[in-house]
Amino acid sequence: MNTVSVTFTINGEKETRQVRTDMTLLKFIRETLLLTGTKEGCGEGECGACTVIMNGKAVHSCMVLAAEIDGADIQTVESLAGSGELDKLQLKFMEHGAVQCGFCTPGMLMTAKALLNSNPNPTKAQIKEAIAGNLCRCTGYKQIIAAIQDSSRGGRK
Amino acid sequence: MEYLKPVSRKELHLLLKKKGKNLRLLAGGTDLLVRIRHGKESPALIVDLKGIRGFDKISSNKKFISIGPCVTLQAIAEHDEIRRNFPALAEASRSVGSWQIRNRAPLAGNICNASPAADTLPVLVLYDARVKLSHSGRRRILSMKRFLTGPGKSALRPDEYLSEIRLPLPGEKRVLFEKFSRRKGLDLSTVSLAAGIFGRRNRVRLAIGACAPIVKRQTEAEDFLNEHGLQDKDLELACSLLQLSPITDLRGKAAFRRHIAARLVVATMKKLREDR
Ligand SMILES: Cc1cc2nc3c(=O)[nH]c(=O)nc-3n(C[C@H](O)[C@H](O)[C@H](O)COP(=O)(O)OP(=O)(O)OC[C@H]3O[C@@H](n4cnc5c(N)ncnc54)[C@H](O)[C@@H]3O)c2cc1C
Ligand code: FES
Ligand code: FES
Repeated sequence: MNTVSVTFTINGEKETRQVRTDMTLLKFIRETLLLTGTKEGCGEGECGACTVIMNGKAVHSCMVLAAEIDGADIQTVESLAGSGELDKLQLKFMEHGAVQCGFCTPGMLMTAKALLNSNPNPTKAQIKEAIAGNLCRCTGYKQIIAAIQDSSRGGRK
Repeated sequence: MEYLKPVSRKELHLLLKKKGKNLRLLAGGTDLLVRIRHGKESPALIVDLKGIRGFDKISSNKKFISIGPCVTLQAIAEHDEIRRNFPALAEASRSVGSWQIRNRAPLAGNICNASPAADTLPVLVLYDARVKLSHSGRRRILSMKRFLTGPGKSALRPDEYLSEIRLPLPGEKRVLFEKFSRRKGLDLSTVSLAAGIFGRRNRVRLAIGACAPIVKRQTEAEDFLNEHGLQDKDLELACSLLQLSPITDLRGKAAFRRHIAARLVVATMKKLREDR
């Protein structure tokens, strides 16, 4: 079994770990770091449930090897309420009923967070394009889009 | 499985030379990790290309825009100079997978995968893109036609890697990319198409993806249109000259693909002829 050493920042904290080379970032986050907010749906890039922010960009953690995160900055859904208070996005998701079973929510939130970080005032079309890779079988997306729009700098248009 | 991340070209060249066959290059990993997961591949060594300086850069000179092997599809979709000169490449890049996939997957990975359904190929073929294949002490520059040798197959040798993609300047604005898939976003193309009108002589170029083992220019249809014009009747006749050999799979039956390809050709050429 091969391992490599990786030093990375997870939700603001710097860590160094020995990781198996065949382990995905998703498995590493859930089973080694025990941050189980990030979900596994398909395991192959189709559903977006595993989305985390890596170096400022939304990525599928199931499509990244843990070995690849040396030097990287990773944010998972746990970072949103890191200060003890819910993020505006989380509050708006609740307000708009954008959560039903909740399985897609962590991934959806992280995609939305990455979008708002890079574009604080996205149009509806830009929101749709950003979350096209996040599947939700419950809500029908309308509430999710509304929640993201409402969280943006300009509020709801 | 061993994982290495060289930090210089020299180191990479040495690895390729020494390890050759059981080695897999990793760029975005969006193809490779799925294949490993499905047990279709089990490389002994993974060599991550993302540690090499300059591999994630886009630069240009008077003759061409040069794209490094780790430049992501999202970076291409957002790049001003590419959008100005090669808008259809930005468009095709933007159509791949999802935002998360595009944030990871480089254009080079899409090319090296050499899938008949890879969305950037029709556009790259149309723009006459070149790829540079490197190896210690040697390199060659190939046209897409010489690079793509079969479905999933390319001219890459085990000890070579794709080190640069070149887009010859000036580009052409009058090029359209169309993708027909079962659902919008996150689906491979049932049929894709790039069509354009090039240069002062207004020459038609046409390439269709996901309908033949290799993505290449539709030269017979192009010649016909260049000779006869772009009237409705010419467009219909040109469709009968398309060189297609589609397969039947979950994305569509062969006959359906032929039908869609013809409809896309007609619709796209109609849009383009207004610019001629
Ligand atoms: C959910 C999902 C949706 C997708 N949707 C689309 C789509 O809509 N359209 C589409 O075209 N594709 C799609 N793909 C396929 C894939 O994302 C793209 O082909 C992508 O561009 C591959 O690039 P990569 O670097 O991530 O792949 P990798 O797996 O890193 O590389 C692909 C192959 O090329 C080799 N390679 C990579 N770089 C080099 C290099 N510089 N030199 C030599 N060899 C190299 C690798 O060893 C590997 O065999 C999708 C994939 C997923 C998982
Ligand atoms: S679990 Fe990663 S995209 Fe589905
Ligand atoms: S709330 Fe159930 S999948 Fe989205």
